[in-house]
Amino acid sequence: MIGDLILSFPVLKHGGGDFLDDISYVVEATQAQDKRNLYITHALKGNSFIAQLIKDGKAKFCVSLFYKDNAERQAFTCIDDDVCIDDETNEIIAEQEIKIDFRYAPEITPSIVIFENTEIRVDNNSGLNDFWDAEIFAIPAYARIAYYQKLKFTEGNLLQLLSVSLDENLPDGSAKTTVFETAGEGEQPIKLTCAKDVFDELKKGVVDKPDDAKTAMRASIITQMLCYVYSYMANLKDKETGINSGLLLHMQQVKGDWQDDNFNPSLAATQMLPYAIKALNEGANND
Amino acid sequence: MTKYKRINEGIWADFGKNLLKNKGSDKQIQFLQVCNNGKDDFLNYLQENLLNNQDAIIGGKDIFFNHKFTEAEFRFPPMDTQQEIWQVFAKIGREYAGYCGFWAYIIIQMIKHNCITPDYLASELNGTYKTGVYMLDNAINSNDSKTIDDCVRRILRSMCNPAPRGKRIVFNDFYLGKVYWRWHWAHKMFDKIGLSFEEILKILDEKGYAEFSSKMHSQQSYISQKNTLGGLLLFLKENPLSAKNMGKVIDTITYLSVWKAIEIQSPELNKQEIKRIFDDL
Repeated sequence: MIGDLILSFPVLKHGGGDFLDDISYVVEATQAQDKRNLYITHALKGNSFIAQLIKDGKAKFCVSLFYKDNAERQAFTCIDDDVCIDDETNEIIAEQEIKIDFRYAPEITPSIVIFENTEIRVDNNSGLNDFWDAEIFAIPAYARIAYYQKLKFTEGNLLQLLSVSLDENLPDGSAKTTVFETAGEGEQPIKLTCAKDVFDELKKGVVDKPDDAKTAMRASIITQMLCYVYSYMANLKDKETGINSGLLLHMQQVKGDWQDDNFNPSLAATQMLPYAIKALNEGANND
Repeated sequence: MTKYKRINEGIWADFGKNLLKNKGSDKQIQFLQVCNNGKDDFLNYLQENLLNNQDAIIGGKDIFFNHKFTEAEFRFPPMDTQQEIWQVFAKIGREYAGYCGFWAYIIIQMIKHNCITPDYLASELNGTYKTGVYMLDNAINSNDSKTIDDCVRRILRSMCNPAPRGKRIVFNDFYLGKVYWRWHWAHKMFDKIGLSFEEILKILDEKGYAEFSSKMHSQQSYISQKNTLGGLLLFLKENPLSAKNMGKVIDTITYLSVWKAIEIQSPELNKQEIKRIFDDL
């Protein structure tokens, strides 16, 4: 959507082209599960009019948090004390610590926002390409002058999506997979219910590259499960509405287009490296 | 953070989807019949088709709303009932109030403890004869698949099942949820923009509310941030909008928010921004 806007001032964004190659804006975010805190680091590199605006106090780093399932948006602006300017490396770093209000991590939209109407005369320190040479442009207050990509925490890693449980009544060697594609944010959409012997084997851990019969057998349990999951997802009538975002991300990483009629779930499952399961049900205990 | 007992969101959604697979099916008629038969049959049906799944209930603290409703009161809670609803559920927090499975569990408990009867869920009562009992009888005996399906959908919405319209029903179609969220937003905003709590509740009771609440729960919900919401409420105080115009204004606010950080702009400035948007419609 950003690409479709016609703005009369340059905006710093990935692949944008208005700024010189050594100018960049990158954001990292980590989540401390035990403290329900988000730690966000903004890094603006290079000599640009944006960097100057921040140094002059006319622009600030901001994040918007979106908790999808609860229709909640929150905005946080970086305070001056959290901004560190390094003139030697031409870098401005800002850090934010934000309390997470819900059990699941939000979608994060970082940006740099200007706080007053400003006029920019392009010169050698503006950090802009030839197109903007000798230009004078006005930027209205509250305009976003830099974007970074939206950050989401669920990477589609199987560990985050899967819960494994034991059912003593199942016959030896059996396991049952259930997919809840509409599971809410923070819930695990894939459940693997195992007989005791299968459960005990999985507890020993599944490695990325099995190198003997035992580890290969454990890996094959996961492959069978993935085959079921991919088949289930491929057979959904509605492959877009209300699907758990983590599960959707995982499906986008699968080899082959799972939304295509010719998708082969079995082949896709065998081509997926088994994920290491560090601890069973680790995701369910994050509160 | 306290955990409250609720039904697993995915399992609850699947329950509704299964009922909506085929319009006018025997399955749908059976569902209407057990609803019409009363509490014991209805609860047995839920036990056999939903709650017998070992993963159906996610454990936590029980919360019980001990208020005996009339049918009309359940559909359109008056102010004093709304206050009771808020007093009970304010403490659960926004996260749980957004779970369809949480509210479904509450409704089932209310039926169990005779606070409502299952037929209330089918009610279209609005100063007319369309009680739940009437609607159930009419649907069961209609031989019309659309009438049957409509009745099933109404029951599911009244139980906060997302299958008919998605999770956004918790903000509007589901009666208790509608009360909670209106009161939540009024409480959130009343000391921030110079409007009283009652004024905000009134604004959120106007005809544009359904569109407003639907947009709040979409990916375009830029209005939920308090400065933007404040501006919108200040504007709506003087200019109540139709559902159509409400949707257009909110969509335009969303486009604007792509390049302009309106969530940081003051509510007063946002009010002026929204007025410009409305004037340009």
